[in-house]
Amino acid sequence: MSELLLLLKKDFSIESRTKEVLVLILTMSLLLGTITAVGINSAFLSPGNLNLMFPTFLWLVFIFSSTLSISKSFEYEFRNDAIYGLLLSGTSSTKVYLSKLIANVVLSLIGQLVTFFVLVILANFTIPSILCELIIISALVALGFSAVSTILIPMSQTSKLKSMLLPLLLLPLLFPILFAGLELSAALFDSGKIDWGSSWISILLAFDVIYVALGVNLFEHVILD
Amino acid sequence: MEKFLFRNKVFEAILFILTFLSVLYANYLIFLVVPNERVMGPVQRIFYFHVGCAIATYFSVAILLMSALGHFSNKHFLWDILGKVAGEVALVFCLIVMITGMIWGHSAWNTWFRWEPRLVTFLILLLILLGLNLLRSFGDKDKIPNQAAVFSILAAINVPLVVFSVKILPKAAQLHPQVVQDRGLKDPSFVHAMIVSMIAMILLQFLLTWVAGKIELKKIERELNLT
Amino acid sequence: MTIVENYFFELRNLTKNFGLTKVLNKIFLSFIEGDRVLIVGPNGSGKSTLIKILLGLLSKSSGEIMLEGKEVNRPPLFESSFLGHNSLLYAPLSVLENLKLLLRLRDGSEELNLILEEWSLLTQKNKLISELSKGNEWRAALAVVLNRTASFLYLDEPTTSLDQSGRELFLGNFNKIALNKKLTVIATHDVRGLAETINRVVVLKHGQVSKDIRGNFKEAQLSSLYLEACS
Repeated sequence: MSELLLLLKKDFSIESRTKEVLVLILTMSLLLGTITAVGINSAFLSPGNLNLMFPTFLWLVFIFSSTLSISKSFEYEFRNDAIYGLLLSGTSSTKVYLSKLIANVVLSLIGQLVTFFVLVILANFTIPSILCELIIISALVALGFSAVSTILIPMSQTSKLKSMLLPLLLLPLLFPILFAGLELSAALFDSGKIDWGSSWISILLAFDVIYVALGVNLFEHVILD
Repeated sequence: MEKFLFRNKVFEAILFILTFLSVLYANYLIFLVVPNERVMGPVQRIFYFHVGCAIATYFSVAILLMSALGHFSNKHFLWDILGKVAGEVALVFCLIVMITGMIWGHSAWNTWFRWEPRLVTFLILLLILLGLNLLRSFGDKDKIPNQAAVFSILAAINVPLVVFSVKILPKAAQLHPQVVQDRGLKDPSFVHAMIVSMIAMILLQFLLTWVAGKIELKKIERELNLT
Repeated sequence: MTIVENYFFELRNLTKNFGLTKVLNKIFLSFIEGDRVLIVGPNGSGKSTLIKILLGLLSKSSGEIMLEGKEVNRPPLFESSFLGHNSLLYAPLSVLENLKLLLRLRDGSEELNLILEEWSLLTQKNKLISELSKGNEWRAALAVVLNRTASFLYLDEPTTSLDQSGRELFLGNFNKIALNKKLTVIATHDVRGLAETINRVVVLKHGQVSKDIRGNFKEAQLSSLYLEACS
């Protein structure tokens, strides 16, 4: 446990010093959110239609901005082969995966919330006070997103296409949680609360559990040849 | 396993004969035996290939998963070859499902694409398989066996999640004529043709995987002999 | 007469392919405790690959690896300390932070200060690795690898980026530390100063072991073995 905390400290130290992933996520969210808002305003959507379409804009902008930014989270692991130094120091690949997972979840969650506020402000979207529930759904989606991306980032970094391969591998696997995010947030904006018995919650939880379990077991094979 | 896979000539011959005969029989049934469907007419016949190829795609994905698990159990290079060709065959069959589905859909509903379970599932599967094949094309050559095996496992586990989540999407979007489930097939020859074409496509998928694997193996053996 | 040695670590018929290229071809190597091995050979002979397989960073293509009598797929990484062509340090972290993380040392501990002092890194301790000169980065890297408590030590060209004083520092530490390891393997083109520690020389050519000599060596012997291997 203390080893995991040590690794988390390392990841957060690096991120707080370089701020690369955070800056990318914030800028991408702002940029893509602005482009989307321009599209919304040009379409002159009525408030009713805007409310219906808001979840779509929210999740699309999040998925694209996060996918483009998150590969930076492994930048310094591969520079100087530092990740091998870490594994040689006695850390298991499982703990490395978990610490990267947690760091990526936090960064993705920040990205989601920024996207939300950018769109709310720029598109004049009126929302009921559902921030707490939205954060819960966002956290579950962020967990699934990070579980898959943490395994795929090392793969794309070593390829010829570098970080451009990541979206091609990551996005096709995210549809179940994209659907769940869309349906749950649409229901949330509609009714103001989460239906915990909904099948979408089950899908979200199942996806998260399955892919974290897979990640923990398969990460070693992605890092070591 | 290594003596058998892509090398056993007896199995290959039997597979070839069975595939040839079943495909021939399926075509005979589809084009010469089953009557025209009442509503759609002759275009409906593409349905048999569509469903057959869909089942064959699932079999291919299962082989993909098997090759990934085999790779992690003993790292023999034949598992990697199997994974490579299964990924290619799955992509081809998935494309056929999409194209036949769109042709059939256009005849039935006059639109090229409808958001109904099977087409959406296969569209997502197509993107996943494209990603896998891109990984094999652009990945680091030494790392591909491991990475492709990991991605194959992630992808194979994704399929049931996609199938389930597409099923529970809002019903308003769904318009797939549930020929088999809801109304049932009136003429018993429909059922017979469907089953035969499914078997034919599955066998074809196995045969293509085997032949492609053999070609890959010969390529590698020839280049190893030259160096 | 066969001398039965207590081999705790063996490679049997080991081959490593990268794609279609055979980098290591049917290698047989057996190690006893206390082996301090120098690997020499021309560029491209497979030295780095062999070391990476021994330490568990790279998987074999075929053959067997026996550790303590049991066959393993790859030796466990935590048993080894290694330094190769990269420093294995986190660029955005300072020397101090890297040492604390990779050696599991506490802030202000005596051991930490001793290490920093020994490697002349006290003034550099708060500098980020990315801000250091190559020589200082390498001192930090060596400080980490030579202070690990792992039982196996693997070094691949450890002195390339060091100046004269750095080399002397390395040799002084290396000679001390190698004596306490179960197995030490060093691959290098610079054999000066290693004679007092090395007790075995393995010559690698075209991915195969062409010579394997145990014994005490003089500096001149090591040099001539090296020159012969690389000719």
